[in-house]
Amino acid sequence: MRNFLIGVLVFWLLVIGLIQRDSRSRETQALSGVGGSTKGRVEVVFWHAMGGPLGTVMDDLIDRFNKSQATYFVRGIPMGSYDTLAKKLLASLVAKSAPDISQNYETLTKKFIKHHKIICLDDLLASEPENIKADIIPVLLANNTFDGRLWSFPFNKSVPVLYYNKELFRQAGLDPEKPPATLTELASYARHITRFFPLDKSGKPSIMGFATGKANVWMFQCRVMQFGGLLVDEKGGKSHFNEAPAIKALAFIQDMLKEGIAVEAQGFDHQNDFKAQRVAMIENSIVSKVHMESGLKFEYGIAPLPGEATRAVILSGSNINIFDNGDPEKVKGAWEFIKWFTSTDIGAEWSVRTTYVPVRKSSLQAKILTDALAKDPNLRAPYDELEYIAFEPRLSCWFEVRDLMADILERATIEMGPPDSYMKEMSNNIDAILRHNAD
Amino acid sequence: MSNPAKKPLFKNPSHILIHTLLIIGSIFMVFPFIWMIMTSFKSEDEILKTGKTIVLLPDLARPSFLNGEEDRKRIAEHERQKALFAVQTASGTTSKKVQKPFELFDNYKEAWAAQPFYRYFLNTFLTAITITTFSLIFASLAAYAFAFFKFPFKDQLFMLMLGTMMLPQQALLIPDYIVLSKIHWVNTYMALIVPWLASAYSVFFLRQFFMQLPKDLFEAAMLDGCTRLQFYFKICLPLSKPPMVTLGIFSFLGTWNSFVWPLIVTNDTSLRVLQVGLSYFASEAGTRWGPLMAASTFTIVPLVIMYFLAQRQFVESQAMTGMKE
Repeated sequence: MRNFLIGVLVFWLLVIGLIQRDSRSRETQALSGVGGSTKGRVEVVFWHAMGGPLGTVMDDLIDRFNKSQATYFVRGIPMGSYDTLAKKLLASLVAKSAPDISQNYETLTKKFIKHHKIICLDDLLASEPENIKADIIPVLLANNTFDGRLWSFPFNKSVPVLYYNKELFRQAGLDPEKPPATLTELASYARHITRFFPLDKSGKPSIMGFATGKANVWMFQCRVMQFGGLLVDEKGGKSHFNEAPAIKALAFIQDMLKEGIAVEAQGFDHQNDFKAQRVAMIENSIVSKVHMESGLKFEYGIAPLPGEATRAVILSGSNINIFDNGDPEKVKGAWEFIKWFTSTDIGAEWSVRTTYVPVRKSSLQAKILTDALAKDPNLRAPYDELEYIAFEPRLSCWFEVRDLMADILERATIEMGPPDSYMKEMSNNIDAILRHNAD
Repeated sequence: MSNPAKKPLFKNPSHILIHTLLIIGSIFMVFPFIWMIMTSFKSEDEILKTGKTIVLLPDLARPSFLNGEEDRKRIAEHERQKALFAVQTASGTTSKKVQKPFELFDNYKEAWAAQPFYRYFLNTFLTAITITTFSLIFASLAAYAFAFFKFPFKDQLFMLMLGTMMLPQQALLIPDYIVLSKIHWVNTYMALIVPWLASAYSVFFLRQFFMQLPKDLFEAAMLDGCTRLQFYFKICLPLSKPPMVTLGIFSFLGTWNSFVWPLIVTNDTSLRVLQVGLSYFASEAGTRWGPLMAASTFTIVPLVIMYFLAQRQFVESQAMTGMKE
């Protein structure tokens, strides 16, 4: 036992020594390397939730901003998921140790405005010689405007799209340049593909026509709007889920599942099924493109989500807030960074490299974007969708509503009961939450 | 089995049943680990394609007679890629269509390069060892007091301490952060270590064990002029090796696996721990299974080694207590 304890002690000291050595080598690296010296610069702390390949792109851009000028230094700190980021933000605000800027959802922005935690961007915009507001894509501007004032800046906004396997389309005799344009077409394509390919040994279709995520609230809401429906009106606090479009939206997926021409996958599994050519069409965020691309060994297409009564998609992703920490220099630095990041050319580059929607209209004409579009037509779908993008109600209780919707949607496709009963339940429960949380 | 043993393998036939159950149980326990290790040696293609059936061994390490039709197709494709790539590197041309074919340790290389895992390992070791050691010392001292001494409000204090176990970790996250922030400990090693040095569970666990030690032992020692601390060091601690080792393993594992707390209280990469590094591979648009499994594998290797080291202590100390009785 004694030897064991001595061993632990020696190991512990060794670890401390190695940590110190590593810290020293990091310091020298930091001094000699990226972004130049931080000395004498105003440091702007930026909390975000970008990991993986998207995080790499963002780190690269932050680095370039730091090199592009010598007054400010942006320090990007990854916080894992949006969920942990939100938790940490709330705690840090109470502890008065908030970052200078952070990614954030609209639902929290309202809370921050109420408690005077963030800076209104209108004043910063007013001091600019250029009329930036006029150049922001209207839906993104509306998404970040509360009571007529701009409180946050759109940052990484994504849209859902339809991915389809062009090779399977070709084999099944469908035109690979004509993805389904309506939900009815989507269902008939899925039916055709599922039946065209032979069954596997266990008697199941070897290739499924269509796949989506289980209890996917985002896609469900898109479909409600595609059937011509509304979600929740932001003022009145009443939901529209007990109406025909929502019932049709649920029935649509229930029917496809019952017929056996579509599957629901857990999490991102449908993405993997698509990669493995077990599914011919999936609906997913455009950001998945960055993620899937490395593994795709076949020709595929990306199209705007099909409409029905109308085309409609719902915006996802987050915005950026500037926190009021009492230091005007930091606010200035934060604003400079946001302005730079969303500027015409950098915004276009960010969009091309990550597939997020650019903030400025002028980015759509930027050379880097038009060049990329010419090279990869699959990048086009989100830009085509810009005309009819909508966004979810920006209510503080919206996450609670979403959880409830997910529960009911999940039950609806397991039990396969009549769609109107689920929608009635959803509508009643949501209305109760809305009444309870009237903001 | 081929060994001509003199003694029958099982003295009691019921042992056969018990052993069978244990073997089945251990297969269930071990399978996820084997799956993780095997997946870490597979290309992304393979990981996704084999989703329908369970194929344990990676393509690059599987004897060919085990291959089914689908596997043969995939391996042929891989060979084709390899040949194309060899031609390409020999001729010095580059084309986007011909990618570097997958090699056995590619996932490990990618994972190790993606995040500063070296530093994460050091940080995790530091926090885990410090927390385990100090929490054992503090918990055993507190448990000793609760088990052997009489002092005012003893029961109330003990209940109060147990009460802290009722509060879920999630509910404490934000208040704890605020306290740390007020004393300027956010983003320091202190934040990672200090809040975990005391654990009500450990105190409770050890107290229950100490209560089982005969009270006479304590009284006899006191009569012979033994001080309270002497009794603690000379008699109590040597007798309580098994619960201490058990608690040590729990606390080491708990610290090794903690994720949300280190993520919330640190900002710099140089202060982050292994689990935070692992979360890098799961992002908004999907998970990189190959590198994630590779990183998970090298993350648990030290844990397995530590466990075996501690296990020897565990068995040894149990044998000793047996002799004392």
